[in-house]
Amino acid sequence: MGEFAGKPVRAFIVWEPVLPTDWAAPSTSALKRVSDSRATQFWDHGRLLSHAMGEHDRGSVVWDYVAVYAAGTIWKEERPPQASYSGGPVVHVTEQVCAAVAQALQRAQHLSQPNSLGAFADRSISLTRRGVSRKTPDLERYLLRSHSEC
Amino acid sequence: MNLMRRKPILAGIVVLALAGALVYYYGGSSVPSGQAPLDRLTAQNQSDIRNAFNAARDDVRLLVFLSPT
Repeated sequence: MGEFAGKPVRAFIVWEPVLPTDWAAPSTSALKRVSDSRATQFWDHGRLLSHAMGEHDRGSVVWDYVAVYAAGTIWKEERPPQASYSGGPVVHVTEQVCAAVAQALQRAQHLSQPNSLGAFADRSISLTRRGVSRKTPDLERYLLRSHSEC
Repeated sequence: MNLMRRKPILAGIVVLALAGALVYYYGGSSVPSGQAPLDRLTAQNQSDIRNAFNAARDDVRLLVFLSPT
């Protein structure tokens, strides 16, 4: 999280009992391991989320696992949505997580710029999906302008 | 004689270990400052995490699963 100070990144930490020594909720010292104020921490004593994600025996417990979600992703069902990156053990995938977060931030920034081609393309795709039009006048104007500038 | 000397030391180590374990496990679950209090998920409030996740929809989000020890 520190690498992305000031960036729109949030972390949801789910603590769950997995090891024989996990008798109680995470201690203050365990919770301190995630000190960033953009984090929200949960104690999932019944491993409800792990079960929702497919846990059916000891070997399928979802833990020591991290998933990265792009801006705009909505969690609709009981189980979390499809992640843009996921993996574990956490300590072994920190580089991949950083890369995935950086990529998601770059994409979010790209889309937030109203004059970017990506923003126009996404708007066009969205409208096409809704059956509005295959090419919006905005996109058309943008493409014509870009072409003439080239 | 050696055994007699070691007994109090061993007893002391055991007491310290037990005290440490008690503090670790039952010393509270306070989150660092600036964070919302620890949310204990149950079948009744399971949607809390989903709501929090969706409330931050404009941000890039990480979901991390860890065990406390």
